[in-house]
Amino acid sequence: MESASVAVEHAAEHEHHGPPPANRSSRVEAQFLGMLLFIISEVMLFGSFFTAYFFIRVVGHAHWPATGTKLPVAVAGVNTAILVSSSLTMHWALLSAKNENRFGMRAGLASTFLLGVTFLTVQINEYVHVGFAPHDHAQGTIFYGLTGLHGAHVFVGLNLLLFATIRAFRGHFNAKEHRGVEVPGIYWHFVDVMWIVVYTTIYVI
Amino acid sequence: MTMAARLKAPGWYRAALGLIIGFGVGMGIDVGLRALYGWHPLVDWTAIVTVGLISSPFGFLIGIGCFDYWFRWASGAPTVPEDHSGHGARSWRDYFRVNTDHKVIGLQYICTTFFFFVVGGVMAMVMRAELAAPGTQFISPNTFNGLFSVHASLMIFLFIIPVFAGIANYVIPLMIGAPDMAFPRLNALSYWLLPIGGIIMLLSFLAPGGSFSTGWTAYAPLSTHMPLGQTFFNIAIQFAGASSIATALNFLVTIITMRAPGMTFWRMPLLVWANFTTSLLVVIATPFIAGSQFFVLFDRTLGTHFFDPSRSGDVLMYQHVFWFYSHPAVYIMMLPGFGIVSEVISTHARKPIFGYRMMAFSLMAIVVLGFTVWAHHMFVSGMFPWLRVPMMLTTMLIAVPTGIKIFSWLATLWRGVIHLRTPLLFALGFITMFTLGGISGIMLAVIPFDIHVSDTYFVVAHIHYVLFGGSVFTIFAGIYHWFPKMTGRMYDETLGRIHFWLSFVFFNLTFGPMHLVGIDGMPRRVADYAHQYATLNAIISISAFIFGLSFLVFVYNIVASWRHGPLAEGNRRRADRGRRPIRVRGAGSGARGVQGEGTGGRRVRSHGRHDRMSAQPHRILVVANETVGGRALIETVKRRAEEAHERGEPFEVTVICPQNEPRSGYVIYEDSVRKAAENRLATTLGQLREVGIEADGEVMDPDPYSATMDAIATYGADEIIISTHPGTRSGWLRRDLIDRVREDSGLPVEHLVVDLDADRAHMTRTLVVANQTVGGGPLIELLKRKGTEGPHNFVVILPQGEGGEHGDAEARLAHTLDLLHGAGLEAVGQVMDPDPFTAVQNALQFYPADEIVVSTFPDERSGWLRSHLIERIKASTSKPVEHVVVTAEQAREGATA
Repeated sequence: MESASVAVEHAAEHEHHGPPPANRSSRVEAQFLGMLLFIISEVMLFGSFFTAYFFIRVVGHAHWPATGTKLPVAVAGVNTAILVSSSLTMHWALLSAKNENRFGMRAGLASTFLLGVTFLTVQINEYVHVGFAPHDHAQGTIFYGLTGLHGAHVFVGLNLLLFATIRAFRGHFNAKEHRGVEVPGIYWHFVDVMWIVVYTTIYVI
Repeated sequence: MTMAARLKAPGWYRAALGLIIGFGVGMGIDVGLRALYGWHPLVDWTAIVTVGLISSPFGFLIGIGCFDYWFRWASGAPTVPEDHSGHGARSWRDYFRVNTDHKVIGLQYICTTFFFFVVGGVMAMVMRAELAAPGTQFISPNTFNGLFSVHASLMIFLFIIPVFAGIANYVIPLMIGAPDMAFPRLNALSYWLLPIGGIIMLLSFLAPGGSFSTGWTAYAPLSTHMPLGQTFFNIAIQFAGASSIATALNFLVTIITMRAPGMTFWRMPLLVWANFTTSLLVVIATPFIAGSQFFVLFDRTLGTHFFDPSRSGDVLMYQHVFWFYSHPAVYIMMLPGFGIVSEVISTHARKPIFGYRMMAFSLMAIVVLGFTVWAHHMFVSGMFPWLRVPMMLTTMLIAVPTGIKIFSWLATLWRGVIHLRTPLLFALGFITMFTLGGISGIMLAVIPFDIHVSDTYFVVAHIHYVLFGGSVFTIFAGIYHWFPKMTGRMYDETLGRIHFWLSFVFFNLTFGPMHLVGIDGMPRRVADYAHQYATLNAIISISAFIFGLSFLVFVYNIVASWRHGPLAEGNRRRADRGRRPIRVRGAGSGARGVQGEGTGGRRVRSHGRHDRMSAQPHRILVVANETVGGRALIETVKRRAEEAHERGEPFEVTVICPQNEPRSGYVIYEDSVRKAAENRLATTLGQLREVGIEADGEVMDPDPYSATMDAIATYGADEIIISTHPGTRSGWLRRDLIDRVREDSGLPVEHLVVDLDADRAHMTRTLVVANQTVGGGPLIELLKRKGTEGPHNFVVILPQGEGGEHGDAEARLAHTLDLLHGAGLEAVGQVMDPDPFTAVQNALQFYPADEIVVSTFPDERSGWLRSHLIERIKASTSKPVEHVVVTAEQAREGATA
């Protein structure tokens, strides 16, 4: 594989007959912009779930939480703190990558990943003990809907982090090439911010 | 290749294996979870099919090879970088593989979507057969319900939305000068997600209980209580939607980050604008339909209560979420068509699009307003009553930007050189049919009328007028328009016209009468109807069959032409694999945004240019507009040239002349503006030649900043001289032109102030206005006399005759200029607006003048004098006006002299 890719590059140097390289017509990087647009569409997906929440709780005047149930505000609060701190470690990883600090980058990515896993475990544990199911009532439906949708995003984010971590441990990324840390990082910060919104609307208000 | 190797390499064998494994994994997850929770029965096929519909497509995608690169990347293995060269298709087999070339993907999209178009069309034919007479003919009501639901879903999600993505995939990178899309692998993935959605929709016919039969709107709670077929719809929408979002994201990033040098946003062709705005809509709105189908899927499979009022759910919420996507979706289905029509009309009228900026702004306005009208689909749903009137008003408001577009197209056609070929026929068909559909749309926006015709055939007629007469006609226009580009061959023009006329006539005969039965109250989406509608329905059905058959003409034309059609002219598809350097000319002038070097573009080149010397020449770039002939400018250039000469350096002078932007309120043809700029340029080059400097020149973009930067990129420059009016008069100085050029080019920039009024002492500039009399003796004599009095510069304008004998006018002008040049006078000329007064007003905008000479026939013969031309000119300007009478005889002599 290694030799094949070298051979390809070699050939490309000598008889490069492709079109000229693309012109950069914007200061924004393509990968960055792509992730930003993806996040916009993700925000809208959350928006549709929040619309359901709005119709059930505000328009339909449903009891919140449903009569006879209680939401574990404190536990979820601790979980929020875990997720917020994972954003900090993510930022540390990116800074380290930019400063050629390999240990910092690896440790930052790994700890972010572990914090994310912790968050998801706590969330699942909460599902087991919360005392109602999605099919009990619409409040349960939208509670599981929103937290579950967010959980799915955490899961996707964890996958991206896993890829970045594997690459970091296999020697990729440096001060010049750290897009593979930066772009998953943006996604992770989005997941984090989205959780704060979900936590506020579902648990606090 | 051994079987094992085949199963390892990306391709159809591995895809089949992936499909099976995917289904197995889905089944395993389902059975495993049921075992874990102790549910019975352990093997529930409804649940297995539901999970399998989600998991097996992923197996397929992995198998066919969509994720290979990403898997290698994710595991940190070395990846093979793509260089975008030579990865197009070499045989038809390459179209059945994962390919990252935007042209291949474009054709994959178009062919796939046309396949689903045919399938959806056949369903429509079956429905019309059933509806040909009252009562039950061929199919059961339940099958009928399934047919109209799948018909609409296929046409919307598998034809109209993605076929535009296909055309854009092919055309947009070429238009903006990008080597490919920004994310070619994502592009391939978005294509392969698409057929999955379509096949799942078709497979729903095999589900127990039949296909989904709720219409494409799939309103809850109807959809939450339907048999298994409905699940197919929920999941198919997710795949088609993901495909659509990924493509839109790709377009946005490509358009924002990969435009050719010099292509600013306001120079993009309108098709690019259209896809930019459409993509914004897709990225923002499509997640809402994903959400709505998730809700229905969860209610159906997990027993949740999004839509169950007895458990505090809200039924109407479905419609709000659904229409928040699906109303913008009608613009997703229309805006790219607007873009195609703009290109087609501009090309076939040989004129730049009228009101380019307004066209782009109206697209943006539609995007914004499109999000504020969704509830007009819900007037009879029992939603909040206060929401109705605002939604009615916004709905009517959105007709305004659409109207702007219609009028701009008409204005583009006006006085164009119209080539009535098949693409333009379809574009014209689109304008008329879409306008009709728009009018019935405004009718439907009116709440009482909407309540009356809700769920009747009036709505069916409206949707087909905007989606078939609108969108599909633009698709045909686009396919015919770019067929030579895509295949390298010409389609058959006669068959194209037959296709157009058959579909245009029978489209109207099919859907026109539906308005009538609709207003009479015939409900849509029902397999049977009352006897009173029998006659019209028979007519509709017969027309529909002919309408359907007309599509065969198209298919035959396309297939036969693709295989054996004559080669298209100027086709360099095979030869130009490595595209040449490109540059952008002209502000958003429609059809061709980016051109290869050496094509088009008028360039005034003086003769006898220096042979290129061995040393790198010193390049002087002169930027000037109205001041182009100013004395100070000529002298500065001369001084610079002498300095370079003393240093022993060769030098090159290039003069660029941004066209005027006519003051708002003046209606002036682009050609006149350009001609005037060319004249000013020619004068300057002549003056430079007189002082011994050979220079090149070009008329460029109206925006002086873009024009200068373009010229630097094209010609290169070591120093720049920008000549303007004095501060108070110069529009350029108000825009900080000098500083911006100095900052962005990093070159020495000299700013030269030319006071044209001060030049007057040096040279008198005379504007000569004449038509038939232009070569007449007395006029020429007068001008010669003026020439001997002192230095004069003549500008001869010829208001073109009403008869449109433009060629004659040009010939007369050339003849006159020859006479003047022969007498040693400096003169340029231009044919202008037919109305002499307008022509003079326009000319005064382009050419500085100190005096005006008007030549006419004697009183009794002159229409100009009858319309008090001289008096009007005198009243409109403070400049001295002279009048020369030339008799008809003198004029004839002059013309042959």
